[in-house]
Amino acid sequence: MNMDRIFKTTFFGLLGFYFLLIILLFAGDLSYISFANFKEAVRTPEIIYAMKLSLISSLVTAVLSLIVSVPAAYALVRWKFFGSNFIDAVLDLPIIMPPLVIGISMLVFYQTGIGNILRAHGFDLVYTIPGVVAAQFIIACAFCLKTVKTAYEGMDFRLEDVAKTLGCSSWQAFCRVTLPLAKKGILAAGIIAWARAIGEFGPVLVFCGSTRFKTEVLPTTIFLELSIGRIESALAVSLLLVAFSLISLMALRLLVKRGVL
Amino acid sequence: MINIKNLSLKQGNFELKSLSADIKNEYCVVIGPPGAGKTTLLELLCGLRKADSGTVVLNGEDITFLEPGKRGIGYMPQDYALFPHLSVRKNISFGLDLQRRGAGDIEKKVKELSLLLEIENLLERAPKTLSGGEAQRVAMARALAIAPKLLLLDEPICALDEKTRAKLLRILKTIQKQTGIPFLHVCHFYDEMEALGEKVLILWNGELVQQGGLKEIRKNPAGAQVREFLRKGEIAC
Repeated sequence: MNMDRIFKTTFFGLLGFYFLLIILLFAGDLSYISFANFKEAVRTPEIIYAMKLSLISSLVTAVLSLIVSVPAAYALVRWKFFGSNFIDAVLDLPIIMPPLVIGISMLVFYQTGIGNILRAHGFDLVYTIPGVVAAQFIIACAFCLKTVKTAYEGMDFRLEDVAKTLGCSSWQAFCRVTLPLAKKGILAAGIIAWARAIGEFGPVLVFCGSTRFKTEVLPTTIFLELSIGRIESALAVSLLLVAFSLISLMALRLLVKRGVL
Repeated sequence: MINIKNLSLKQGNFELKSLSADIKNEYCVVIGPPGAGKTTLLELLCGLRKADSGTVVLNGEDITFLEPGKRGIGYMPQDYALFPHLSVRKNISFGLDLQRRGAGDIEKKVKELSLLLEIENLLERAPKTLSGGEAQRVAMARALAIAPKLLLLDEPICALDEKTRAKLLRILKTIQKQTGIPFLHVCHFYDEMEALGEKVLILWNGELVQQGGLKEIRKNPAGAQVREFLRKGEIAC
């Protein structure tokens, strides 16, 4: 075997190894439950409710994450200012910290200082649906910001300068030049935010609880079903999450490939 | 005509020292070694940087504190900076779209410029498919489309081969004559200066060490570094 072949085989081998690992995991799940069991499990009203809440809250979270990340990442990349490295490090904390810590911190926040003031003015998010979005947002936004930042980092901002000499204001230069050029990165960031949000468990459970027909999202359903020994039902919901994620990711890739997005 | 008076900027270790110059509607070449402040001068003139002090008056209007887009100055950076997500046509019409011109008017202007710069067959192409010489002409068309009162060119033909350079030097000179606006062209080659410059500004370490006509500079070079440049024909990079 020549060196070129060994090189290629090694790289493809490792790609295949990881791909197979994931496929085998879900294949195991699939073989464990029958289609009838799956159908029965996902038709229960509580799971349908959790499904709806998961989809809506994760979509809202993804949109909110983009609204915050697109300008925030731009500020971090475009302008050098005192303390930018520290701010950048703090914004990475939700990525590094165990998600459970975020949940506990959110709960404690509402027992102290500003949290008390917010509660007094009717902004109590603990054990509420907006709280689900807030818990998902804290973590998803950090991932979103990181991805958007990477998209900006590869960009030549002199293009904006030229746009300004041609008559653009700063806003116009950003919207007409930078945003279209960062489009793919921003889209990827949105997908990552959504994926993080739909799978978020720890902070949602701690901050919002797992009240059926109220704050129960799909990952909490898996936990609840598992804790009462209904493995088939937990697996059915897991597979449902896998299917949602796979279909959405494939659809988005297709839209990007066809130039729709 | 552009009048620059005591233009100064201090940024880190670099300092542009009280630069004054009057440029008529002529082809002016700015020459100097790397780090002399040539690009900084262009960026100050087009408003991408703010001067610490001094004034810039263009055709009688003080533009020192105007936003870049309101100065009426065309700017062509060193590597042309064409918008990669737009076709050549859209690149040229970019400034015209911002001026909210009618579609017919835009089309007419794009056609006129593409004929002038011999790029009419490139209009639907993406910038990444263009050669250096083609990209240079597209960037020039884009800068000229807004009908600027002054055109700034930052080393526009530096990275091109000899044949393309010679062709573009001719084009640049012709267009300056046709438009009748002042061109400020940054370079560090003697042949460019000789082919184009009606007026020459020589910058050294942020200081304007000499300005005037080519003959005058050749006759009385200000200092050893200018004499050395005239002898070698190129400023060391």
